[in-house]
Amino acid sequence: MNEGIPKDITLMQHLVPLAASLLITAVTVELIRRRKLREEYAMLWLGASAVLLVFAIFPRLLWHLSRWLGVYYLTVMILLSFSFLALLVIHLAVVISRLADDQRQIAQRLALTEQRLMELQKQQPFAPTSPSNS
Amino acid sequence: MEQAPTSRLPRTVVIVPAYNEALNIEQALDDLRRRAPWADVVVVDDGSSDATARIARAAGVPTLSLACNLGVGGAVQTGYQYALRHGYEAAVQFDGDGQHRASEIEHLVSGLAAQQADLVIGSRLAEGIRFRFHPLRFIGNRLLSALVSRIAGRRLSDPTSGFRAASSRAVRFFARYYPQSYLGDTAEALVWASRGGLKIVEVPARMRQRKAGTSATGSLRGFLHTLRIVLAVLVDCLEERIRPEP
Repeated sequence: MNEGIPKDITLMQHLVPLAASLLITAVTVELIRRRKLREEYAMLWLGASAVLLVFAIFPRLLWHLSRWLGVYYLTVMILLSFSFLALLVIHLAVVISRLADDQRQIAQRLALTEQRLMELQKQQPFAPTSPSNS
Repeated sequence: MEQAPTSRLPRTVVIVPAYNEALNIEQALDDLRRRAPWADVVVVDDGSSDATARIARAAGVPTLSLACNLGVGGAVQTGYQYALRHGYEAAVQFDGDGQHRASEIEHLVSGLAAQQADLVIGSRLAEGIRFRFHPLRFIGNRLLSALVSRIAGRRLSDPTSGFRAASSRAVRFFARYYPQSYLGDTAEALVWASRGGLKIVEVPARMRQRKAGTSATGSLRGFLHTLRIVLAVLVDCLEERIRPEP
């Protein structure tokens, strides 16, 4: 069915995944160096760039995959990257929801504790006003 | 202070959520002091950028000042947590913007025991109350009311009313579980509560009309907003039921 796909791998098909892989690795390493990326996400992106590297070294892998799926080479690329990104975004949305929940509970406890502290200070007017200063 | 005319009333705290209400809060607190002197008050300042918290504290009212803006749901829930920690037998939600009347609080709270309910809603649309809604908002409200009434198994004409009294059981429930969606303090809380086995009733309550422009629920926006709540309520029905300890 995929007679339209040439058996030779073009230079572009070598270079594009290679460039993408190197770019992701460089950005990830730089972010780790600046301590701006948590280790779990660093691992995720290094893993992603490793997968890209595999495709850069063995471009026929993708070509075989496209034949096996019965779709074009480009379609496979788009499908794979889109699925990866979609799952990642959903994962991040879950993480953000949890963080917002944690943040809410912290803000609530802080407000209750501050008010309690003021009540206690009123009962003991000679207590130091800022107990955190040492 | 005069002795409370009604010693049969439970020990009550009025929760006043306030976000940038520096212009209205003093008046609301004054209203509470004059017309509901038997109840304690706590202001929840929802991360206001104005002097709301300072004004409330200067008025001698305990004030929970949230470090960041959580939305009405988060603020009201903090008030319920305060009520739980201080062992109150009942709590009342009362908006700091002057829409609610302190004189109606006793009516709401006494409804808890009289009707053996966990939640008493002050309804603007119950019989004998003439409250003007924008027509579009009215239609949206009808839709929401039908839906919520069906879930609660009881007619609730004004599910978006933020004027309500809660029993100690409801206080315990809301201190732990409270919907956090935008303006979710109203209809969604009712759905959660009734699915959690709390008994909800309503009583007629007179309210003041808001001055134009300030409310988050205008005309068309109000209608769309109500539709959004309807959707949120439908999603709530898909969620796992919360079963509180009895």
